[in-house]
Amino acid sequence: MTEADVTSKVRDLMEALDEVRRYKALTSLMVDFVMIILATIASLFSVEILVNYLHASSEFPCSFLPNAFGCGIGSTVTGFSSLVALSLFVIPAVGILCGVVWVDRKFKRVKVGEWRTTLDEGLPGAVKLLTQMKWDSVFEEIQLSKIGYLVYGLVKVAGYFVFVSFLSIFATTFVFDFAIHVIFNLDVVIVVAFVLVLVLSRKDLEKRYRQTWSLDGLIWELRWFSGEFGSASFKT
Amino acid sequence: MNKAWVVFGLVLLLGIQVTVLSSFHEVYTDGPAYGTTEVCIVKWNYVQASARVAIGGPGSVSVTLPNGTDIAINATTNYSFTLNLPRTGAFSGETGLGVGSIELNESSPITVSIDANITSVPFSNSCSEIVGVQYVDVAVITVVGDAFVSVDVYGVGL
Repeated sequence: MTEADVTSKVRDLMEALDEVRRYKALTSLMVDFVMIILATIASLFSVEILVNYLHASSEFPCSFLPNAFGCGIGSTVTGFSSLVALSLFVIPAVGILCGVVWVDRKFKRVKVGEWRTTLDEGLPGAVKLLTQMKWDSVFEEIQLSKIGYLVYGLVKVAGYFVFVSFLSIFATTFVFDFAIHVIFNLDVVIVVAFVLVLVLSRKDLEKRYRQTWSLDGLIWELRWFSGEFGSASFKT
Repeated sequence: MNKAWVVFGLVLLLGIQVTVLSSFHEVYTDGPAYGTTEVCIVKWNYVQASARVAIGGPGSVSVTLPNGTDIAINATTNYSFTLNLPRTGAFSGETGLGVGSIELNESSPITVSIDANITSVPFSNSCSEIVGVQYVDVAVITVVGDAFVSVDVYGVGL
Protein backbone atom coordinates (compact mmCIF):
# COMPACT_ATOMS: atom_id res chain seq x y z
CA MET A 1 0.00 0.00 0.00
CA THR A 2 1.43 3.37 -1.04
CA GLU A 3 1.51 6.54 1.08
CA ALA A 4 -1.24 8.01 -1.11
CA ASP A 5 -3.41 4.92 -0.51
CA VAL A 6 -2.99 5.20 3.26
CA THR A 7 -3.76 8.94 3.21
CA SER A 8 -6.84 8.32 1.05
CA LYS A 9 -8.12 5.56 3.38
CA VAL A 10 -7.61 7.74 6.46
CA ARG A 11 -9.38 10.63 4.66
CA ASP A 12 -12.36 8.33 4.00
CA LEU A 13 -12.36 7.27 7.66
CA MET A 14 -12.17 10.85 8.94
CA GLU A 15 -14.96 11.94 6.60
CA ALA A 16 -17.12 9.07 7.86
CA LEU A 17 -16.37 10.13 11.45
CA ASP A 18 -17.27 13.75 10.59
CA GLU A 19 -20.60 12.46 9.38
CA VAL A 20 -20.97 10.59 12.67
CA ARG A 21 -20.17 13.83 14.54
CA ARG A 22 -22.94 15.59 12.61
CA TYR A 23 -25.41 12.85 13.50
CA LYS A 24 -24.35 13.07 17.15
CA ALA A 25 -25.07 16.80 17.07
CA LEU A 26 -28.42 15.89 15.59
CA THR A 27 -29.15 13.77 18.69
CA SER A 28 -28.78 16.84 20.87
CA LEU A 29 -30.71 19.05 18.41
CA MET A 30 -33.49 16.48 18.34
CA VAL A 31 -34.23 17.35 21.97
CA ASP A 32 -34.47 21.03 20.92
CA PHE A 33 -36.82 20.04 18.10
CA VAL A 34 -39.01 18.01 20.49
CA MET A 35 -39.12 20.99 22.88
CA ILE A 36 -40.21 23.33 20.07
CA ILE A 37 -42.90 20.88 18.91
CA LEU A 38 -44.17 20.39 22.49
CA ALA A 39 -44.23 24.16 23.02
CA THR A 40 -46.17 24.52 19.75
CA ILE A 41 -48.75 21.95 20.85
CA ALA A 42 -48.98 23.65 24.27
CA SER A 43 -49.60 27.01 22.54
CA LEU A 44 -52.30 25.46 20.39
CA PHE A 45 -53.95 23.85 23.43
CA SER A 46 -53.79 27.18 25.29
CA VAL A 47 -55.64 28.92 22.45
CA GLU A 48 -58.12 26.01 22.35
CA ILE A 49 -58.79 26.26 26.11
CA LEU A 50 -59.22 30.05 25.87
CA VAL A 51 -61.59 29.83 22.88
CA ASN A 52 -63.59 26.96 24.38
CA TYR A 53 -63.91 28.83 27.68
CA LEU A 54 -65.10 31.94 25.85
CA HIS A 55 -67.61 29.79 23.97
CA ALA A 56 -68.85 28.24 27.24
CA SER A 57 -69.09 31.50 29.16
CA SER A 58 -70.02 34.16 26.62
CA GLU A 59 -71.56 34.64 23.22
CA PHE A 60 -68.36 33.76 21.42
CA PRO A 61 -69.76 31.83 18.45
CA CYS A 62 -67.69 28.65 18.32
CA SER A 63 -65.48 26.16 20.07
CA PHE A 64 -61.99 25.57 18.66
CA LEU A 65 -62.05 22.16 17.03
CA PRO A 66 -63.40 21.46 14.49
CA ASN A 67 -65.38 24.68 14.20
CA ALA A 68 -62.81 27.46 14.38
CA PHE A 69 -62.48 27.99 10.66
CA GLY A 70 -66.20 28.30 9.97
CA CYS A 71 -66.45 30.53 13.01
CA GLY A 72 -64.06 33.06 11.51
CA ILE A 73 -65.92 33.49 8.26
CA GLY A 74 -69.47 32.88 9.44
CA SER A 75 -72.20 35.41 9.93
CA THR A 76 -70.84 36.58 13.29
CA VAL A 77 -67.45 37.60 12.00
CA THR A 78 -65.32 39.48 14.46
CA GLY A 79 -61.64 40.27 14.34
CA PHE A 80 -60.95 37.88 17.21
CA SER A 81 -62.81 34.94 15.70
CA SER A 82 -60.90 35.45 12.45
CA LEU A 83 -57.66 35.34 14.42
CA VAL A 84 -58.83 32.11 16.07
CA ALA A 85 -59.47 30.58 12.64
CA LEU A 86 -56.02 31.65 11.48
CA SER A 87 -54.31 30.37 14.64
CA LEU A 88 -55.41 26.81 13.83
CA PHE A 89 -53.18 26.99 10.76
CA VAL A 90 -50.54 29.52 11.78
CA ILE A 91 -49.43 28.08 15.17
CA PRO A 92 -48.48 24.58 13.89
CA ALA A 93 -46.91 26.07 10.74
CA VAL A 94 -44.77 28.56 12.69
CA GLY A 95 -43.83 25.92 15.28
CA ILE A 96 -42.63 23.37 12.74
CA LEU A 97 -40.89 26.03 10.66
CA CYS A 98 -39.06 27.32 13.76
CA GLY A 99 -38.07 23.76 14.70
CA VAL A 100 -36.71 22.91 11.26
CA VAL A 101 -34.88 26.27 10.88
CA TRP A 102 -33.39 26.00 14.40
CA VAL A 103 -32.12 22.45 13.83
CA ASP A 104 -30.84 23.29 10.35
CA ARG A 105 -28.97 26.41 11.58
CA LYS A 106 -27.33 24.60 14.48
CA PHE A 107 -26.58 21.55 12.34
CA LYS A 108 -24.66 23.65 9.83
CA ARG A 109 -22.51 25.06 12.64
CA VAL A 110 -21.14 21.66 13.69
CA LYS A 111 -17.34 21.86 13.35
CA VAL A 112 -15.97 19.21 11.00
CA GLY A 113 -12.87 18.77 8.84
CA GLU A 114 -10.38 20.11 11.38
CA TRP A 115 -8.18 17.10 10.61
CA ARG A 116 -7.53 18.19 7.01
CA THR A 117 -4.40 20.25 7.76
CA THR A 118 -2.85 17.34 9.67
CA LEU A 119 -3.66 14.90 6.88
CA ASP A 120 -2.10 17.26 4.31
CA GLU A 121 1.24 16.33 5.91
CA GLY A 122 0.90 12.92 4.25
CA LEU A 123 1.68 9.57 5.93
CA PRO A 124 3.04 11.07 9.17
CA GLY A 125 -0.14 13.13 9.49
CA ALA A 126 -2.32 10.07 8.84
CA VAL A 127 -0.47 8.01 11.49
CA LYS A 128 -0.68 10.95 13.92
CA LEU A 129 -4.46 11.15 13.42
CA LEU A 130 -4.89 7.40 13.93
CA THR A 131 -2.72 7.29 17.05
CA GLN A 132 -4.55 10.26 18.58
CA MET A 133 -7.91 8.62 18.01
CA LYS A 134 -9.75 7.42 21.16
CA TRP A 135 -11.44 4.37 19.72
CA ASP A 136 -13.81 3.70 22.62
CA SER A 137 -15.30 7.18 22.41
CA VAL A 138 -15.50 6.87 18.61
CA PHE A 139 -17.59 3.69 18.95
CA GLU A 140 -19.78 5.38 21.55
CA GLU A 141 -20.28 8.40 19.26
CA ILE A 142 -21.32 6.15 16.39
CA GLN A 143 -23.86 4.30 18.55
CA LEU A 144 -25.34 7.58 19.83
CA SER A 145 -25.45 9.16 16.40
CA LYS A 146 -27.17 6.08 14.99
CA ILE A 147 -30.03 6.41 17.49
CA GLY A 148 -30.21 10.19 17.10
CA TYR A 149 -30.30 10.02 13.31
CA LEU A 150 -33.15 7.51 13.34
CA VAL A 151 -35.19 9.18 16.10
CA TYR A 152 -34.80 12.63 14.54
CA GLY A 153 -36.32 11.20 11.35
CA LEU A 154 -39.27 9.83 13.32
CA VAL A 155 -39.76 13.09 15.25
CA LYS A 156 -39.68 15.01 11.95
CA VAL A 157 -42.36 12.69 10.54
CA ALA A 158 -44.44 13.22 13.72
CA GLY A 159 -44.07 17.00 13.33
CA TYR A 160 -45.17 16.87 9.69
CA PHE A 161 -48.07 14.62 10.74
CA VAL A 162 -49.30 17.20 13.28
CA PHE A 163 -49.00 19.96 10.66
CA VAL A 164 -50.69 18.01 7.85
CA SER A 165 -53.46 16.86 10.23
CA PHE A 166 -54.31 20.42 11.19
CA LEU A 167 -54.12 21.54 7.59
CA SER A 168 -56.41 18.67 6.53
CA ILE A 169 -58.91 19.37 9.34
CA PHE A 170 -58.84 23.03 8.32
CA ALA A 171 -59.47 22.24 4.64
CA THR A 172 -62.04 19.50 5.30
CA THR A 173 -64.02 21.66 7.69
CA PHE A 174 -64.13 24.40 5.07
CA VAL A 175 -64.99 22.20 2.08
CA PHE A 176 -67.39 19.69 3.64
CA ASP A 177 -68.79 21.32 6.75
CA PHE A 178 -68.92 24.97 5.79
CA ALA A 179 -69.22 25.04 2.00
CA ILE A 180 -71.40 22.00 1.24
CA HIS A 181 -72.76 21.40 4.77
CA VAL A 182 -71.71 17.75 5.06
CA ILE A 183 -70.19 16.66 8.35
CA PHE A 184 -67.04 14.71 7.52
CA ASN A 185 -65.58 12.20 9.97
CA LEU A 186 -62.38 13.81 11.27
CA ASP A 187 -60.91 10.43 12.32
CA VAL A 188 -60.78 9.55 8.63
CA VAL A 189 -59.04 12.84 7.89
CA ILE A 190 -56.38 12.11 10.51
CA VAL A 191 -55.76 8.58 9.17
CA VAL A 192 -55.49 9.94 5.61
CA ALA A 193 -53.06 12.63 6.84
CA PHE A 194 -50.95 9.95 8.55
CA VAL A 195 -50.79 7.79 5.43
CA LEU A 196 -50.00 10.84 3.28
CA VAL A 197 -47.10 11.85 5.54
CA LEU A 198 -45.74 8.28 5.52
CA VAL A 199 -45.89 8.17 1.71
CA LEU A 200 -44.20 11.58 1.36
CA SER A 201 -41.52 10.71 3.95
CA ARG A 202 -40.89 7.25 2.52
CA LYS A 203 -37.59 8.13 0.83
CA ASP A 204 -36.29 9.96 3.90
CA LEU A 205 -37.20 7.03 6.17
CA GLU A 206 -35.60 4.54 3.77
CA LYS A 207 -32.45 6.66 3.63
CA ARG A 208 -32.29 6.77 7.42
CA TYR A 209 -32.85 3.03 7.69
CA ARG A 210 -30.03 2.33 5.21
CA GLN A 211 -27.76 4.83 6.93
CA THR A 212 -28.37 3.13 10.29
CA TRP A 213 -27.27 -0.19 8.81
CA SER A 214 -24.20 1.40 7.23
CA LEU A 215 -23.25 2.89 10.62
CA ASP A 216 -23.49 -0.61 12.07
CA GLY A 217 -21.13 -1.80 9.34
CA LEU A 218 -18.79 1.10 10.08
CA ILE A 219 -18.58 0.05 13.74
CA TRP A 220 -17.57 -3.50 12.81
CA GLU A 221 -14.98 -2.33 10.31
CA LEU A 222 -13.51 0.13 12.80
CA ARG A 223 -13.39 -2.47 15.56
CA TRP A 224 -11.40 -4.73 13.26
CA PHE A 225 -9.20 -1.83 12.14
CA SER A 226 -8.52 -0.56 15.68
CA GLY A 227 -7.44 -4.09 16.68
CA GLU A 228 -5.09 -4.34 13.70
CA PHE A 229 -3.81 -0.81 14.17
CA GLY A 230 -3.18 -1.35 17.88
CA SER A 231 -1.06 -4.45 17.21
CA ALA A 232 0.93 -2.89 14.33
CA SER A 233 4.32 -1.25 14.79
CA PHE A 234 5.41 1.69 12.70
CA LYS A 235 8.92 2.32 11.54
CA THR A 236 9.94 5.82 10.54
CA MET B 1 -31.59 24.71 32.82
CA ASN B 2 -31.26 21.08 31.87
CA LYS B 3 -33.18 20.33 28.66
CA ALA B 4 -34.66 17.18 30.21
CA TRP B 5 -36.40 19.30 32.85
CA VAL B 6 -37.81 21.62 30.18
CA VAL B 7 -39.19 18.60 28.29
CA PHE B 8 -40.61 17.22 31.54
CA GLY B 9 -42.24 20.60 32.29
CA LEU B 10 -43.75 20.78 28.80
CA VAL B 11 -45.10 17.22 29.03
CA LEU B 12 -46.61 18.05 32.44
CA LEU B 13 -48.18 21.21 30.99
CA LEU B 14 -49.64 19.20 28.09
CA GLY B 15 -51.07 16.67 30.55
CA ILE B 16 -52.79 19.45 32.49
CA GLN B 17 -54.08 21.01 29.27
CA VAL B 18 -55.50 17.69 28.03
CA THR B 19 -57.23 17.23 31.42
CA VAL B 20 -58.71 20.73 31.18
CA LEU B 21 -59.82 20.13 27.58
CA SER B 22 -61.55 16.89 28.59
CA SER B 23 -63.75 18.88 30.97
CA PHE B 24 -65.43 20.72 28.08
CA HIS B 25 -68.75 19.19 27.01
CA GLU B 26 -71.24 19.85 24.24
CA VAL B 27 -74.84 18.70 24.07
CA TYR B 28 -77.08 19.22 21.05
CA THR B 29 -80.78 18.42 20.98
CA ASP B 30 -83.49 19.42 18.56
CA GLY B 31 -87.12 18.60 17.97
CA PRO B 32 -90.53 19.89 16.94
CA ALA B 33 -92.47 22.26 19.19
CA TYR B 34 -96.26 22.35 19.05
CA GLY B 35 -98.87 23.46 21.51
CA THR B 36 -96.87 24.28 24.61
CA THR B 37 -93.32 22.97 24.59
CA GLU B 38 -90.96 22.80 27.52
CA VAL B 39 -87.21 22.96 26.86
CA CYS B 40 -85.32 21.79 29.92
CA ILE B 41 -81.59 22.38 30.31
CA VAL B 42 -80.06 20.59 33.30
CA LYS B 43 -76.45 20.79 34.50
CA TRP B 44 -74.31 20.19 37.56
CA ASN B 45 -73.84 23.43 39.49
CA TYR B 46 -70.04 23.39 38.98
CA VAL B 47 -70.51 23.63 35.23
CA GLN B 48 -70.27 26.97 33.45
CA ALA B 49 -72.25 26.78 30.22
CA SER B 50 -73.70 28.72 27.38
CA ALA B 51 -76.88 27.56 25.60
CA ARG B 52 -77.69 28.62 22.06
CA VAL B 53 -81.38 28.20 21.39
CA ALA B 54 -82.69 28.50 17.82
CA ILE B 55 -86.38 28.59 16.98
CA GLY B 56 -87.71 28.42 13.45
CA GLY B 57 -91.23 27.88 12.24
CA PRO B 58 -94.14 28.94 10.08
CA GLY B 59 -95.30 31.88 12.21
CA SER B 60 -95.17 33.69 15.52
CA VAL B 61 -94.45 31.90 18.78
CA SER B 62 -94.30 33.03 22.36
CA VAL B 63 -91.23 32.20 24.42
CA THR B 64 -90.83 32.35 28.18
CA LEU B 65 -87.20 32.56 29.28
CA PRO B 66 -85.88 30.99 32.53
CA ASN B 67 -85.99 34.39 34.27
CA GLY B 68 -89.73 34.69 33.50
CA THR B 69 -89.44 37.17 30.65
CA ASP B 70 -92.02 36.64 27.90
CA ILE B 71 -91.06 37.43 24.33
CA ALA B 72 -93.06 37.15 21.15
CA ILE B 73 -90.97 36.21 18.16
CA ASN B 74 -91.45 35.77 14.46
CA ALA B 75 -90.04 32.27 13.98
CA THR B 76 -90.03 32.53 10.16
CA THR B 77 -86.70 34.35 10.40
CA ASN B 78 -85.06 31.61 12.51
CA TYR B 79 -84.83 33.44 15.78
CA SER B 80 -81.95 32.51 18.06
CA PHE B 81 -80.60 33.64 21.40
CA THR B 82 -77.88 32.68 23.86
CA LEU B 83 -78.42 31.90 27.53
CA ASN B 84 -75.55 32.18 29.96
CA LEU B 85 -75.79 29.43 32.58
CA PRO B 86 -73.24 30.39 35.24
CA ARG B 87 -71.35 28.19 37.63
CA THR B 88 -73.17 28.33 40.95
CA GLY B 89 -71.14 26.02 43.14
CA ALA B 90 -68.02 23.92 43.54
CA PHE B 91 -67.66 20.26 42.61
CA SER B 92 -69.47 18.40 45.37
CA GLY B 93 -68.11 14.92 44.79
CA GLU B 94 -71.51 13.85 43.51
CA THR B 95 -70.79 11.64 40.47
CA GLY B 96 -74.18 10.45 39.29
CA LEU B 97 -77.83 11.42 39.37
CA GLY B 98 -80.87 10.00 37.60
CA VAL B 99 -84.38 11.42 37.74
CA GLY B 100 -86.72 9.83 35.21
CA SER B 101 -85.17 10.25 31.78
CA ILE B 102 -82.66 12.85 32.98
CA GLU B 103 -79.25 11.53 33.88
CA LEU B 104 -76.21 13.47 34.97
CA ASN B 105 -72.76 12.12 35.62
CA GLU B 106 -69.14 13.26 35.42
CA SER B 107 -68.78 12.46 31.72
CA SER B 108 -72.20 13.97 30.86
CA PRO B 109 -72.66 16.92 33.20
CA ILE B 110 -75.20 18.64 30.93
CA THR B 111 -78.44 17.30 29.51
CA VAL B 112 -81.28 18.82 27.49
CA SER B 113 -84.81 17.60 26.88
CA ILE B 114 -87.61 18.96 24.70
CA ASP B 115 -91.19 18.00 25.62
CA ALA B 116 -93.79 19.13 23.09
CA ASN B 117 -97.54 19.51 23.49
CA ILE B 118 -97.61 19.48 27.28
CA THR B 119 -100.86 20.17 29.06
CA SER B 120 -99.78 22.23 32.04
CA VAL B 121 -96.88 24.46 33.11
CA PRO B 122 -94.92 23.44 35.05
CA PHE B 123 -95.30 20.10 33.34
CA SER B 124 -95.10 17.07 35.60
CA ASN B 125 -92.04 15.36 34.18
CA SER B 126 -88.43 14.60 35.03
CA CYS B 127 -87.53 18.25 34.51
CA SER B 128 -89.94 19.53 37.14
CA GLU B 129 -88.86 16.74 39.51
CA ILE B 130 -85.21 17.72 39.27
CA VAL B 131 -85.83 21.40 40.07
CA GLY B 132 -84.47 22.06 43.55
CA VAL B 133 -82.27 18.98 43.67
CA GLN B 134 -78.98 19.78 45.41
CA TYR B 135 -75.95 20.50 43.19
CA VAL B 136 -78.12 20.73 40.08
CA ASP B 137 -79.12 23.83 38.06
CA VAL B 138 -82.17 23.74 35.83
CA ALA B 139 -83.17 26.28 33.17
CA VAL B 140 -86.61 25.93 31.63
CA ILE B 141 -87.74 27.65 28.44
CA THR B 142 -91.39 27.45 27.41
CA VAL B 143 -92.37 27.83 23.76
CA VAL B 144 -96.02 28.31 22.81
CA GLY B 145 -96.82 27.76 19.14
CA ASP B 146 -95.62 25.61 16.25
CA ALA B 147 -91.91 25.68 15.58
CA PHE B 148 -88.74 23.66 15.39
CA VAL B 149 -86.40 24.09 18.34
CA SER B 150 -82.71 23.31 18.55
CA VAL B 151 -80.57 23.70 21.64
CA ASP B 152 -76.78 23.61 21.61
CA VAL B 153 -75.22 23.74 25.08
CA TYR B 154 -71.49 24.09 25.50
CA GLY B 155 -70.02 24.02 28.97
CA VAL B 156 -66.98 23.44 31.08
CA GLY B 157 -66.94 21.66 34.42
CA LEU B 158 -63.87 22.56 36.44
